Amino acid sequence: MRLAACAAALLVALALVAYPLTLTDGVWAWWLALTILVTVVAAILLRSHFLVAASAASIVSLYALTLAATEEVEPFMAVIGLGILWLLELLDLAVATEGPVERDLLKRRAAWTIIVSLAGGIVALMAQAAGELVDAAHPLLFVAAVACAVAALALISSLAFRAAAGEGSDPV
Amino acid sequence: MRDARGASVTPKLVTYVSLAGATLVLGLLLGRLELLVLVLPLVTALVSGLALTTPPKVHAELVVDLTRLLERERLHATIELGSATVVEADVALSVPPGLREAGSASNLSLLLSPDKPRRVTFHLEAVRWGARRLGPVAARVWGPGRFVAFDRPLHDGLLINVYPAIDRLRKEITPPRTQVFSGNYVSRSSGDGLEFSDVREFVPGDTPRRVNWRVTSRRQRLHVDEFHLERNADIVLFLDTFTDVGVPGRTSLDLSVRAASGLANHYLARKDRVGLVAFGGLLGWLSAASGRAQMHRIVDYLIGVRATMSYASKDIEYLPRRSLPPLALVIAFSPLVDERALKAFVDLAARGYSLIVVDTLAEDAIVPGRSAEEVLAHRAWRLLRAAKRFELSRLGVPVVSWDGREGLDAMAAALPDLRRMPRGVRA
Repeated sequence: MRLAACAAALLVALALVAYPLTLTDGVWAWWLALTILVTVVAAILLRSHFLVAASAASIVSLYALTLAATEEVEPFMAVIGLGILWLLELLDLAVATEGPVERDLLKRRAAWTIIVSLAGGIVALMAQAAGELVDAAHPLLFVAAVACAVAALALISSLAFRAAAGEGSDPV
Repeated sequence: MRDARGASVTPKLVTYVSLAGATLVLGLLLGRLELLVLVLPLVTALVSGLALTTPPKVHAELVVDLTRLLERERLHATIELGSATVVEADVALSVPPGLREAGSASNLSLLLSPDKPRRVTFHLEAVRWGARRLGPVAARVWGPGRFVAFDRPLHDGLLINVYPAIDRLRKEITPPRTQVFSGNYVSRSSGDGLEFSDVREFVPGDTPRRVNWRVTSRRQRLHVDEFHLERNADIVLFLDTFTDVGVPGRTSLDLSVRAASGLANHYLARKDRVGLVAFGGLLGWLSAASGRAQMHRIVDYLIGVRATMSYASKDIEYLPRRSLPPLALVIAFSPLVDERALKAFVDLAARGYSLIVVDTLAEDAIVPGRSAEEVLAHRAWRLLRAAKRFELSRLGVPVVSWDGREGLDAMAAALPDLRRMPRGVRA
C-alpha cells in the first residue's frame, strides 16, 4: 500500500515539475525542480508531514515564478491544481499509513484514487481541447497526462494485488 | 491540539490551509488569475471535507478466549466494532508488558459502516507471569478527507492472569522430617505402613495378620512384623522479594516464582502441605495447606508478587507462627543480595528448620566493565557472594545455584540428601 503510494507520488511529482520547465529557460527552474523531487523523496523516507507541505509549497512557488517570468496566459492551471491535490493525497497515504490496512479500506482508497485520476484526466482533456481551440496546446501536457495515468494504474494494480494476496489483512 | 470531543486537527489540514492561503496571497500579489485557479481543487476538497465532518459514534467490545493462561500459551483477543456512520478508523489494542503480538500487529486501519459490524482478532502470546490488563482499546476515527481526527477510547480492557509455566520435578527433594498426617514419605518411626521396618515379640493388642510365622516357628514364640509409618511433610517456599535482579526474562524473581509454582505443584500432588512466604519490602504469606485449592491460592498469590524496595528492618519474627510450621522443610529462593534475607536464613537455620537456599542470581550473565576498577569491583562482588554462600554452608544450609536454563531437576540434582545431613546445626 505504502510502496504503491510512494511510487505513484514520485511519478505525479515528476509530471508536475516537468511542465513548467517547458515554459521557461531559466536554470533556476531546473534547480527548483530538482529540489522539489528531493523534498518529495525525503518526505516519503522520513514520513514527515512538514516536508510534504514543503514539497507542495515548492511546486506552487515553481509555478508562481514561471508565471511571473512569462506574459502568456496559462489555460491548464486547473489540471495542475488537481495534480497537486492528487500528489498531496498520495503523500498523505505514504506518510500517514502505519500498520496493516484492511481490505475494504484499501478498496475505498483505490476507488478514491480512481475518481481523482479520472477527474484529472477529464479536466486535462477539456483543457487540451480548449488549448487546441486557442492554438496553445503543448505536447508536454500529454506527457504529464500519460505519467498520471501510469501512476494511477500502478497504484490500482498494486492495491488489487495486495488485496488478492490478503496482505491487506481481512480479520473478519 | 484536541478539543473536548477528542477531535484534533491533522497535519494534512494545516498543509492544505497554509498552502491555499499562501497561493491565494501570491496570486493576488502577482496579479495572476492562474494561481487562484491552481488552488481551487485544494480549496474545494478542504471545504467539502470539513463540511461533511461530524463527530463519529463508534463502539467496541473486547472479548478474549482465555483470561487465565500459562506462560508461552496463546490468547486470541477479538474486538467487535460498530459505527453509526461510514468512517475510516485506526484501531489499536494496547498490549501490556508480559504479553506480545504473535504474528500479527496489534493495530489495524479499517472501514466501519452501520450495516456491517466488524470483528478484529489479534493473536497474543504470554511471555511473563503476572496479572495484566489487556487494553485499553482505542480508535482514531478520521473525518472525511482525513482533515480532522477523533480519538476515542472504546474499552477499558480486561484483566488477564498469566501463571508461571510449571516445570515438572522428577527427582525428589525428600524432606528430612515428616508430619503426623499420612502421606508418601517413609517415616523413621514404626506403625502402619508398607515399608518393612523390624520384627519384635507379640504383645497383646497386635493384630494376628502381622505375625511373622517364619520367625515365630524358629524362636518358638510369637513375633510380629513392624512397618515404617508413611507420613506427609510441610514445605514452605520462601521467596526473597527485597530485590529483583538479573537478565530480563530470567530475573531472580522470575526464577523464584517459576520454581515455587513447580515445587508447589509437585509437593501438593504428593499430599504434602505447602505454604508460601514472600519476604521483602512487603511481607506476605500463605499458611501451609494441602489440596488443589491450595495450588490455586499459591499461583494466584505468586502472580502478584513484586520486589518492593524498603529500608525497613525485617525479621522473621514478624511472620505469624502458622506461616512457618515446626519440622517444615523451608526452600528459600534468593539472589543473596540483601543482608536482611541472609539474616533471615541464619535465623531459620538457628531455629532448627531444615533449610535449602536456591541462589537465583545468574552470576555468569553479569559481565564486568572494561576498566581495571570495574573488573576489580566485579571480582570483589563475586568473592563477597561466595563468602555469603560459604557462611550459609558453614551453618549446614545447602546452597545451590540455579539460573533457570535447565529445569528444576538440575536444581534438585545439585542438592545433597537432606536425610543424611547432620542435624542440630546451630548458628
